[in-house]
Amino acid sequence: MKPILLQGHERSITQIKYNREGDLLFSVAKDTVANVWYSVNGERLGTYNGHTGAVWCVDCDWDTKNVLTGSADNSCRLWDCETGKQLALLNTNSAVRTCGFDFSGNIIMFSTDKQMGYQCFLNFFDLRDPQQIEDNQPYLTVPCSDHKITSAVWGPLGEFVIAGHENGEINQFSAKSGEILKKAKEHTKQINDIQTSVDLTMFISASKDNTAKLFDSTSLDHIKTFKTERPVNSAAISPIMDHVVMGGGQEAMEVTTTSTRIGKFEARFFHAAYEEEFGRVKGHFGPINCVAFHPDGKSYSSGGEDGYVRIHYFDPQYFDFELEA
Amino acid sequence: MKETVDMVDDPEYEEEEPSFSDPEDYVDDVDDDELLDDILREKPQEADGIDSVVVVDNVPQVGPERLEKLKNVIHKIFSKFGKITTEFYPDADGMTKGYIFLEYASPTQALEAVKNADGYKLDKQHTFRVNLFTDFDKYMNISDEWEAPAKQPFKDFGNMRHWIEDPDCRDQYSVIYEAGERTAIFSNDAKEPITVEERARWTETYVRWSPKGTYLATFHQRGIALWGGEKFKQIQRFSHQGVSLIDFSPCESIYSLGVVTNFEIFRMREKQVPVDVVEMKESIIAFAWEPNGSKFAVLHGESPRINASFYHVKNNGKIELIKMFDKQQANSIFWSPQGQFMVLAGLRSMNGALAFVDTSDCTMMNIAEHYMASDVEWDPTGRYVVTSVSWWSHKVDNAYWLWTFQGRLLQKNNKDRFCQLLWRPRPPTLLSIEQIKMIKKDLKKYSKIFEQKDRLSQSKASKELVDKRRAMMEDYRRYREEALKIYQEQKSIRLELRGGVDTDELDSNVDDWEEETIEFFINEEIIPIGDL
Repeated sequence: MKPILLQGHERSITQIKYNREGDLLFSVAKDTVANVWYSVNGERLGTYNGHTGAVWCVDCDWDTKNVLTGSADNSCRLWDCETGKQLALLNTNSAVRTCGFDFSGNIIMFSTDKQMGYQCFLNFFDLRDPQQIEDNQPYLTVPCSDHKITSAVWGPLGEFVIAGHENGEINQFSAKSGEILKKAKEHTKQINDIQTSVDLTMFISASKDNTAKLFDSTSLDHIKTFKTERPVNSAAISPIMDHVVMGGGQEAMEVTTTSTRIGKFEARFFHAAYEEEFGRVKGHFGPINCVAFHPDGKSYSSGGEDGYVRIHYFDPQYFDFELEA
Repeated sequence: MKETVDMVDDPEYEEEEPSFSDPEDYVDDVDDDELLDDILREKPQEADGIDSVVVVDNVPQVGPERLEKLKNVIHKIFSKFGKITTEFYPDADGMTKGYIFLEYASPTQALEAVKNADGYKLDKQHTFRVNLFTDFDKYMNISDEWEAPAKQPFKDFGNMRHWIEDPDCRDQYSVIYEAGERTAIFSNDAKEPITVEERARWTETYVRWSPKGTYLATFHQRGIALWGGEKFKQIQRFSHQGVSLIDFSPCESIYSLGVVTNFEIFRMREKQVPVDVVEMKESIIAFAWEPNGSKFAVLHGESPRINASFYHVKNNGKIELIKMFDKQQANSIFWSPQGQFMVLAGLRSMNGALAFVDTSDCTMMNIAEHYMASDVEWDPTGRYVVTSVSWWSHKVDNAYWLWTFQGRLLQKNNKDRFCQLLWRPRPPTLLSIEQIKMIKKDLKKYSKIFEQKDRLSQSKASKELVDKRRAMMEDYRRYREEALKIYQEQKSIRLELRGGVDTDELDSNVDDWEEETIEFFINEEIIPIGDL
């Protein structure tokens, strides 16, 4: 089926995310804009206006009530999903790189970059306590002095945050005490993206070391590795098939040597159990920065360096396809 | 600012000045060599400068009245190579002896004189012989006693033709990758390359195969090394500081000259070397003869209108155009070493466009692409083609791809910082023409046996793969079952966290669903409204 092209950003896409039911797709980019679209037809629902710097991350709570965004303008903002109204503005000392609602939607976390003398922090706010928001006082703030956090997601029951660092490390930070519960060092270079499976039991990490790896969320056991020849910017796990999708490319400055071909940057599909690639989808004009499966697994989306978001609905053959075993 | 105080006058300064004289009974035991090593090194040596002296023989013997003229002539000829600092014309009985000594400002100048003036014909009777003085020295010191050279122990390098004996007739090729850090030799199997040998830092730059495939030459700062035999042992080393290019002895063939708008074919083997001229109306980009055949291909024109023309040279020497393909994306021609088949490639700046051609009927068998390909290499039998993206010309996507001669892609081999792939050449066949005829006649019989063998090995490989996949799936399923068990056990916690709302499945909460009407984008039409 022909992909739906979302043209709502003027600069590269930094993250895309579906809400829990999948009817909405959120996209944020370096152009300070946060958009929300209907995933079924690509119609834009609205924009969240307010950030004054590149928006690095976005998340939506399980009930599609609130939206959270983090930006290079040193703020993390909470919005009302339906009206677009800004509900809270949390100022920080450095750029907010990653953010998210926990399983209950009551606790938010976000990490700040190591910049301008400030080290990287992982902050936790409880939304049920309005005082924390008013005073901009997180109930817990965890310093990460060694290697900054580059991507993070909540664990299955809101007990810990799984964070990927710029040196390839993955750590579980307790949301109550801030201590590191478990560690994993499987990647050799920066973690670009971490995404959980729809049931939160496992997650996939995309790394600059040209691989993506599948881990168990609770034990941090390394389960699978998917190898490519280019840095992987983002990876996602299919909700209904044993598939993972990966998107990648290189740093923007190296793109000039490869972008002379039109529409040739590909999303790559791997079989989750066999670790073998079985398909590619072309279309982007630049490296792919973010991929996401629709929660029903019947479509997926990708956001690229070219500023476009593409929504692809799978053909029937995709669901019948099987590798000989 | 405090003024500087003379230490001696300072009342606080009481320390006695240390004495710098040697104690009374001190004996100096430091060598001059040790102390003045660097200065001594420059001490003028008696023999210094003999490297800059040349001896010129067969100089006319003249008397004193013509000596001045002779000196002028010599000076005129020999100052071309450098500054002559001293000259010596030995004489005897009033005449010059017939040889002279010239000293130059540097040994390199002396060498230039030897190189260029040796053999210089001054006149009918006098041809100069020029040598370095130091060479004479060397020759004079050769012992008068001739000694037979010592017997070298026999070095067994093993079977130098080992690779040809491969029962599956696989050809080998060398691959340089990791930016030159690793070199490997692979045996070509259509399924997957088989590693024969792999070494780190085997070569410092490139490798070359000898024309018959017997040796692999590696390049080093000090020279080159030759490797061969089953285990690729080192056969020989050649010292040649800073070597960068070598060429094994070539073999002769018909040459042609590519001048801008036409070319001339010189038939070297015929008497009086007849020349045919072929006119081209456009500039020639590439030209190549068919090996073992009588055709040649030309790429002409200017991008984007590049044309590929195929010509046939008839028995009587006449050249006729067979076919021309226009608007090709190509800048290089690669014939199969067996002739008939060829690849037209648009390398590097043309982004790796490939066209596989059968010149027996001039048809395009397949059009394909290997993005940013920098090289094309046929295997010696003409069955396989390798296209590659070398790290030396493009820093990403370094890999080599294996195709059949018809243009069907068989393998993609990514290698970190892949640099170069070279097929190992085959030595000429040892079979007689009759034997080759016999084999061709019975080809059907042989091919049946090979096909059966191929089918067996294919199914074996797929069985291995299938077994591996089955094992991986079982492990994965087991893991997922465990994880899901724990997930079920945690259901109550999940319900609590979301205020009793069951969100485990997408359709767990049908009551909450709303109906919405949405529009789909079908078409866009621009209708101009008349002048307003």
